[in-house]
Amino acid sequence: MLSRGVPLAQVTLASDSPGNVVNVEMEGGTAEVTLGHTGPVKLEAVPASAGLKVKLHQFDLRALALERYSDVQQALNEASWNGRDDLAEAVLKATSDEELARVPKSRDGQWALARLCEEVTSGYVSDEEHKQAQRVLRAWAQHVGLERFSRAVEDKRTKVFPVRKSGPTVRAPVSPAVRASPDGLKVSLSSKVAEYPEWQALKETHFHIPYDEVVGVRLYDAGGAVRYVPALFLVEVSNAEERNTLQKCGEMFALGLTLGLGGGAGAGGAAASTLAWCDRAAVGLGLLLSVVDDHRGEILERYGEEGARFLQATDVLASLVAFYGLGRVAVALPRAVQGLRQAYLGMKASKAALSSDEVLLGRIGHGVDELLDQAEKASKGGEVIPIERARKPNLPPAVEEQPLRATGTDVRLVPLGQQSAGPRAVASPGGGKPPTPLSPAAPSLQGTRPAGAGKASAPRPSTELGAAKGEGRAGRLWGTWDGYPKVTVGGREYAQIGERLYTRHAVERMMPRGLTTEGRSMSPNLVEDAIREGTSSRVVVDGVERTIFRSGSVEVVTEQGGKLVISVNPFKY
Amino acid sequence: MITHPHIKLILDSARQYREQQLGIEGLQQNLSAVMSALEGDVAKEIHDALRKAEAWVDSIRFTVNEADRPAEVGRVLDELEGIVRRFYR
Repeated sequence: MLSRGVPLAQVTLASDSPGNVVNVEMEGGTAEVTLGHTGPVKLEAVPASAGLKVKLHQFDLRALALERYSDVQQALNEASWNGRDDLAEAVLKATSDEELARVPKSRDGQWALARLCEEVTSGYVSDEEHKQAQRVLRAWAQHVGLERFSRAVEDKRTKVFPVRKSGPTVRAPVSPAVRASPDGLKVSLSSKVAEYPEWQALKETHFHIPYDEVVGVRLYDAGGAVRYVPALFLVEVSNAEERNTLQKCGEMFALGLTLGLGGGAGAGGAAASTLAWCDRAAVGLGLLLSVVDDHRGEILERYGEEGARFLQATDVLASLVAFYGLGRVAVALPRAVQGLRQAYLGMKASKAALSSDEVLLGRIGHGVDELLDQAEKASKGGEVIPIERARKPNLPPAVEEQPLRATGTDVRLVPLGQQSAGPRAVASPGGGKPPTPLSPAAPSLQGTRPAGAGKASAPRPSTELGAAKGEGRAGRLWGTWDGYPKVTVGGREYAQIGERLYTRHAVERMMPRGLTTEGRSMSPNLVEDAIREGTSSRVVVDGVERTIFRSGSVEVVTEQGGKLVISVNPFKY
Repeated sequence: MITHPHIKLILDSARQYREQQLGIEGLQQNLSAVMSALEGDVAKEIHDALRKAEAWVDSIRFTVNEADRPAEVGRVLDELEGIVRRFYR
């Protein structure tokens, strides 16, 4: 080890000892050498140069993991001011998630963790440092627990701190100044806070906040979104010197924090390329937040109290999902998910929709539906998708175009180009008529049902669609649009359920009530029964022939004799 | 004057549809939203009427020629409004 060409010390490391850190501080005629290590190591002095004293310190980077918190404190105290962030980062990196989760359980651990968090978020924050800070927050949130966290976010007494970083156009910047102490955070606000609505509830400028407390942060630089966080997040807020740094903090709520991968999400840089995977739940949340955060002012202006309620429900859910994952929230706190839906419906119903409203409401509604859809899936053990899809939630999933599948009585179609050399696939129209070769073009109505001229007519004839034969009810799963395989016909996308193709509208109307606004709790099997057992009539609507099947109060509107299900109505009559 | 926000939305939507400020899809979405929002929070007659109207509007969307829809939807809305106004004079 050399400093300015002068040998200071000799370090002997084991070959399997990665992540070691050396810090050298020169003061006067003394060189302080601190070695942070993770394994067997030997630090030895070498003959000092004339006039230079060398002091050697060793520190086990695993001290936090081994619950030797006083060692952590001592190492931070002894490290030079510009080397502490590197040391803190190295300590956190040397601590596994499981070990980190244990730390907040003791008072000394909390204090040590707060200091480490303070160091990794101070000054310029690298992507790696940001990532480590998020790990700390996540561990802290797990320590607080979902139930207690959710109680706090619903409690009107929970402190909400306004944050607006300084800038050329900002008249009243405000941001908490925070200092970690052994028993909590010392938070102070400038007198500018009195210009913000949060002042009405805060009423003070100096606070002592225990580490276990949950607080809210209103990010005025991010449209005024409120995010509820473990109090330790205030340290990061306080240290964020620039708006974009803070925005980077805010973005974690949309992507990745639940997996501890949020560093650099949306910020580009090296870390972004290392983010390989993300919780699929982030798709729904990201989609919703991107719309809501861009239109907060508009939502409040147009929808008043109902709009404010919706924003609050969004903020609460975003905070909970960020720390606990959508699946866990959906299972343990379904009211938080349903609360968002109710708030959306309330907002939607509060004002007659003009065409300009429809666009915004439609986008928000799509986001809410997507999130609820993901909540349902996540609660059953959500899947993992590439981060790229999470970042671009509006992109439709890739659809592989396939020809239609068999609808004949006793034949099956195979995709074009995969026919066997045997007899050509044909569809039998039944009724003793000769079979007709099938083509990939939309087939004409099959079967011998007489035209009903718009009136209910004969019961379903015996010529049934292929789905009816040899396919159990299990082949028609009741799910969401995203969950079904897709088939594109004539440029339009359909969900394949059993042997029939459903429009998105039909699938959404079939959804269980309560999950979507349009859902009418109509399973695919009920649709199937109506088609198979009900009466039918045919109408031509603007040049398109449609067959309507009716059974009791159920109506199913189809094309191509039942092959394409256009809409369903369980309570028509 | 009717002040109940959801009921008001029904009537406003009906008026907007008749004045061609709202399409049939928007009308159906509004009826769907009100129907969900009013679940268990309104007289059964109104909820039933709403449910029926929403189903009919959806059906008309897909089974009636575009030119004939306003008249058909108008009849559905007349019936729905009649029931609603009986409760909210």
